[in-house]
Amino acid sequence: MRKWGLIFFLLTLFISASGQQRYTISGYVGDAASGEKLIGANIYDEHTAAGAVTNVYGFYSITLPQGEVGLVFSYVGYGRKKVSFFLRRDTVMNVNLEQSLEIGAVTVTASEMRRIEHETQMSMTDIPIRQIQALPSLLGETDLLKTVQLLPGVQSGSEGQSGFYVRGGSPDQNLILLDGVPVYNASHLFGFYSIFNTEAISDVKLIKGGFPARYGGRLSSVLDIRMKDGNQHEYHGDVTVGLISAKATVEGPLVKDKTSFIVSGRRTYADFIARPFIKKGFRESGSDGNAGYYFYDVNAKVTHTLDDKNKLFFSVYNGNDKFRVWERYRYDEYDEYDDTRLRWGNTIAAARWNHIWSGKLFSNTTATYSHYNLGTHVAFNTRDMAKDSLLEDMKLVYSSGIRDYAVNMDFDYIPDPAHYVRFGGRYILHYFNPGNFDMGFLAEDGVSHVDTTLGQKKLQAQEFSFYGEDDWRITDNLKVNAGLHFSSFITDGKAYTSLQPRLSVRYLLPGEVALKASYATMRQYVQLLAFSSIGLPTDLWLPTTRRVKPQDSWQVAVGAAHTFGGLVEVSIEGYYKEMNRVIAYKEGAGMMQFDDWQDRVTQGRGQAYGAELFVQKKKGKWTGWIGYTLAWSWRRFADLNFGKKFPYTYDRRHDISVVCVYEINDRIHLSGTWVYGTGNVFTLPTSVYYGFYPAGGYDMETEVQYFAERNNYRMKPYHRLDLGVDFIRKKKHYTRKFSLGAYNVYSRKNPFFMNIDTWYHNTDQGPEMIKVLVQYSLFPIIPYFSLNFSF
Amino acid sequence: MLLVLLPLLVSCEDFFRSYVTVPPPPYEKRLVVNLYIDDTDTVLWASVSRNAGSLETVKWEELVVNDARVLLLDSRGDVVCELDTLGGGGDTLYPGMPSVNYGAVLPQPFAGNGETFTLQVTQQEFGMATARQTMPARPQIGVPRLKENAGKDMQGDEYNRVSFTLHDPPGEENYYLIHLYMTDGEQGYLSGIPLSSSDPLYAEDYGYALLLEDKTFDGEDFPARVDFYSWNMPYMEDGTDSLPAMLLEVKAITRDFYLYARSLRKAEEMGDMGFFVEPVQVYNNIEGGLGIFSLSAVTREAVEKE
Repeated sequence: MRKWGLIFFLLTLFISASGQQRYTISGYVGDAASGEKLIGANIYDEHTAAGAVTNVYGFYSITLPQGEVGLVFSYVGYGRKKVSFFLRRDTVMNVNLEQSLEIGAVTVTASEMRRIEHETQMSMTDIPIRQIQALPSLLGETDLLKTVQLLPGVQSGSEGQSGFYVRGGSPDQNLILLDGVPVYNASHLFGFYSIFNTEAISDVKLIKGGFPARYGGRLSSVLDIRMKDGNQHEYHGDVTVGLISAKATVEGPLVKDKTSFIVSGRRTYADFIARPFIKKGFRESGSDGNAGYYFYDVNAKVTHTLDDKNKLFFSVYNGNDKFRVWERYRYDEYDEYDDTRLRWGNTIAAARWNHIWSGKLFSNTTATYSHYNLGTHVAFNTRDMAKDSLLEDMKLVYSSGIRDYAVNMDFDYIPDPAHYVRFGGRYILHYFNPGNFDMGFLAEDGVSHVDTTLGQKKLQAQEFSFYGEDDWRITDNLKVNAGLHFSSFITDGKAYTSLQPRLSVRYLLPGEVALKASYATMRQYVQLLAFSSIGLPTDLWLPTTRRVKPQDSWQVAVGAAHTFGGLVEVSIEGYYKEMNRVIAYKEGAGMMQFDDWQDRVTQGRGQAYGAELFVQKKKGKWTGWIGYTLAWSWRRFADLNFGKKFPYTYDRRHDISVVCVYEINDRIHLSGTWVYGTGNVFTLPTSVYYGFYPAGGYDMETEVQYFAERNNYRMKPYHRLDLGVDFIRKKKHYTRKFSLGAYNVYSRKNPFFMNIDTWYHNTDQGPEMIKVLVQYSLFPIIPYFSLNFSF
Repeated sequence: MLLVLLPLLVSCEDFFRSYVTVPPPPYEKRLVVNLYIDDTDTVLWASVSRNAGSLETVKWEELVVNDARVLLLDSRGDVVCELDTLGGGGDTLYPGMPSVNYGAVLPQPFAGNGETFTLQVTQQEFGMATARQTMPARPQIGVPRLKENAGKDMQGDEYNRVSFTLHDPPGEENYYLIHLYMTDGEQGYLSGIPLSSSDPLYAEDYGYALLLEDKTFDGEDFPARVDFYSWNMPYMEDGTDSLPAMLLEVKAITRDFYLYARSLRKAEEMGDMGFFVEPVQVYNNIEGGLGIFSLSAVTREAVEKE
């Protein structure tokens, strides 16, 4: 560990000190129409061939020698902008780029573009938000996480679920950040939709390995999602009506060019449609009642520019899923009432301050709040109407969740074009509620009312982290990103610490082919306790404790990357990852158990390795990608499978995704995705036998379901084709988009789950019982349409 | 084109059916052997059968294997005894257990503490199934003492407690099975008493007994405490004032039997809860087959009332 510290210390101290006078040009790069900051825009000096890239706030800094400069600003989908002048002092230059109107136009030269082979970072993918919005989707609901599932190295879980598995990791090993704030439950509707409304998002980036030191806290991936800031120049709106939901977005300036806002909301309305029919159903069965389910989410953000050096951001997300069923039934003199409600959701808030200390030093200070909560309320009572008294009265309230308060400071220091230094720290105060019950009931004597509270102990924890990293261009061909991430977690009177070295290296071969390698160690202090077979909002986020130790991982990856013809990015990577102390339920542990959760879990090891191919085209009439993953993923627990290694539930040998958007012209866009994946594994008894045992003078005989090892059965492969078409009509004051398509076009019966069922056949001798292995599928072909107006 | 294609696709038979039946997974037909031997046994009995496919609905009688050769060998490979087939069931040797279909009568108690024995079962169709076990040393325990109405549980029910000291040998993994029997003092055992314990050291209750491993008290004198309820005792009539005479039995068992008993019990408890519990894998130690071969050494002590 010490040698890593020394290396990093030297790296961060190394600032090239040229004898020639040098000056810094810095500022923001944004969209000319909206003022929205552009993340990852490229800045290139024609004279020195030096370059820079904007950070997640659109800020850039480039230090050049005194003299003539020719700065070219460029960004995918935008026209280039060139600024030439004589550099004689530090200069602040904010630049806005115009969106390119010509479809497929390549307006920048190869050297001016930000290319995959130029970056040190590997195992990273960014998806243009426009592409996400163009893809066909389940019931027409554009879904960011389901698009992420189409990337190589990322696997979907069960059919339709928005949870994702990266390089053999579990869903809780993905750090999902919304404007830098961790999101704990990223799904609506029991996992079928993600909580992210794509209308409010400006940028999405997924990192699967070679993690820069600024990220920490999860083992397998970082999904960094950035919200739009809102249009600074004029008001705009967007309304979409789909099969299951409607959404609207409004953005504009509160103070022109100074303060902007964006508000985006979405709500499903199946409950409105279904309610009268459900009510009628209850009436026909002789009772009053109703049932309904909906989800909603709201994103809001205000951005205020105090001056050239200071910016403030306030953002809020709130989303909830709500389900309720109630019934009132009267018979004789009795009145029976039962009511069941289930609610879960996230609330996230962030206040952010961007400050430019100098042209070379940029800081971001953030205070955040993140809360995930699940609540269940079950009530039942019976009233004797003649006596006007309660005969039975029972209520059960269950709640669980996690609440975080966090503060972090991040600095970007760009001393010269050869170095990009980042450092900072974070403090998080966690509150965990692993599940609490409030129960009330009427005692037998009909008088006393007893309340009792059962459940798990609430826990508090503190997490600190500090990091430093330098993206260092050692020579024109060799670039290194080296860093250290230190973290500490204090809980239950116990402190855990970890020092995590990170290293990424890129070497550029002749012909602009980049060879890349990376090494990263990660540590995770919070984990999701989830059942292996299903994903439910009842899955619990829990901390490391004295008994349950933190999870660790290390990963190495090697690969090559090249951009063909300036348009088609190709990367191939191999990786090997080991995970220690991953968590799993013990055998026989059940969801309906109320003992200490620590007694129900076990910790073991995980191992994942594989190779990934990614071919992506982001510009032109044809855009999209082809991804292929060859992967293995294993688990080994002392308490499971008798200590032997077994395949992880989402061990999938082959994963292929083909994603395509074809813009025929301004008015018609076609899109399609095809996915193929080796079937998931699960535990299925292959035979039965009779076992017996002597016990206490009695002898027990029992049928034993035998399986040779855990996850011994592999389901059939999964594949699916989705197609969509957008018809776009531009009017004087608005643009109308009508989207039509279908999910699972050839209605493949993909396995969702399998079970041994007992069926009965009528025979001449009476009903005969047979056992059958049944594969259940969820979605046949599902057509969709949606109508969108933007103004 | 999509609009034209959709009705065509939808018209296909079973297009929207959400389930399909799938052929059962292949499985290997194997011998299933259950043989438990206490060092005090003078009669050995075993069950020999075969497994069936997970979708087969076969009765026990159809699984019984009566034409196997069941041998017990010592560490030198010499035959200690051969268990003979009892035909359709072990009614003569083991009443009420039709699954017992092999047995042998020994001239003297099995004993064999510290010795290793091999079970060898051969049958023409299924080949050979073997297992090897070493007879543990007899457990050393102190005098067990009974305290009636020792306390109340969370439900307010009074329980009785038997306490004794278990002298655990150091430096080795040891596993125990604890039984408590009612006895009339003359006819020997009458009946087992269901035991329980709130101490997490005891693994799942196994039938009427408790399982214990020495991981946390290796080499120490472990103060063992087992509880039982008067109302849960067999043959206890209403109004019985005093508890009958009792016998504590502590068995030193092998690791294999401990794993088998724990997993079998857990699998039974979980039953058919499907998606709501994690699957339980039942341990077996029969190479080339399924089931369990177990050797255990028994210590029994009369329980003294406090």
